[in-house]
Amino acid sequence: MLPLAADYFIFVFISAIGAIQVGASYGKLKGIFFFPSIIISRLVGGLSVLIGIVWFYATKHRNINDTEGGIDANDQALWFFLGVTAALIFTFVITSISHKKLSGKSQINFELGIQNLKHSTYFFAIKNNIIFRTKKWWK
Amino acid sequence: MVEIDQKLFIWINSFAGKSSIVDNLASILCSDHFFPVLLSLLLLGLWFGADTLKNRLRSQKCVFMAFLGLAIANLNVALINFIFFRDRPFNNHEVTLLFYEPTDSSFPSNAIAATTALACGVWIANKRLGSISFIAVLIFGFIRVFSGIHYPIDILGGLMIGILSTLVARYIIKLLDPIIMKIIKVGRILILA
Repeated sequence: MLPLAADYFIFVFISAIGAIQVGASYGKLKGIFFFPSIIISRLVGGLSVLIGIVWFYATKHRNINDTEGGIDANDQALWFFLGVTAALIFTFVITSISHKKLSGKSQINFELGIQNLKHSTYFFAIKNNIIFRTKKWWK
Repeated sequence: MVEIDQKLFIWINSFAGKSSIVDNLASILCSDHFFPVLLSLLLLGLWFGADTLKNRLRSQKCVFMAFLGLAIANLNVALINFIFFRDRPFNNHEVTLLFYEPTDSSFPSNAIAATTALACGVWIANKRLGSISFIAVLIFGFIRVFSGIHYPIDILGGLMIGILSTLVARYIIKLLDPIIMKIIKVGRILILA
């Protein structure tokens, strides 16, 4: 049986994947969409948040005092951060592998940050960023 | 004032324990995780959600403000609890309790102060989503009273601390703007901001 902190991490991970998809759909960041359609990304994102909540609350009793095995505010913040980080890594890896068509077709402007994900995948953008900065550094 | 607060608590809490469906729903909604996580996820969505560079920068600064506001709110609650302790309702009244028995001070509500700070951050970034967030915080506050964990004044205290903490956070973020811009610039290099 997983401790509450591990369950909380999974809950945040699943829900954060959904929140990123919903956010990306409003920001039109096609490079990190799981699905090509904005509406489907939004729906699947919302569903993912819902699945996280339902899974977390339907499987066990979650109102536990932190003195009796619950998680205190500091640990909650830590596990939330780790869950979101894992969700970001998962999203970047999966979408970079699945959207190869987006790679190599656009110019990267490094001043724009995640705006670049409107036209390219995360790996493509970060790879070109590293190449650009290395060349600039050698000059 | 305290008498009215206690009478109001007893009246609201008297509706608990009447329906298992309502009680189960309330025990989920009043949990330490539900609303805080939802509001934090909303801020995560806002980080990615703006469609122009200008709006994105504004949203991202609001995310910094919200989390700084949350930290200041927690600090303020800890400081108040250091000098003032109020018993929980279940210590002094016959209560239908739908939650575990917290041992910290009832006033002000830490959970409400924290979620209010998050909602304020959302509101500054996006008025429509912010209004929804404030409604969520009010529901959270009502359910905390319904579940027997807080008196209504604890909720009001939490709301006020959350709002004041965000105002302080807003001022600090303005002062620290060059540092925040540097953090965002590093985030842009890593394609994260």
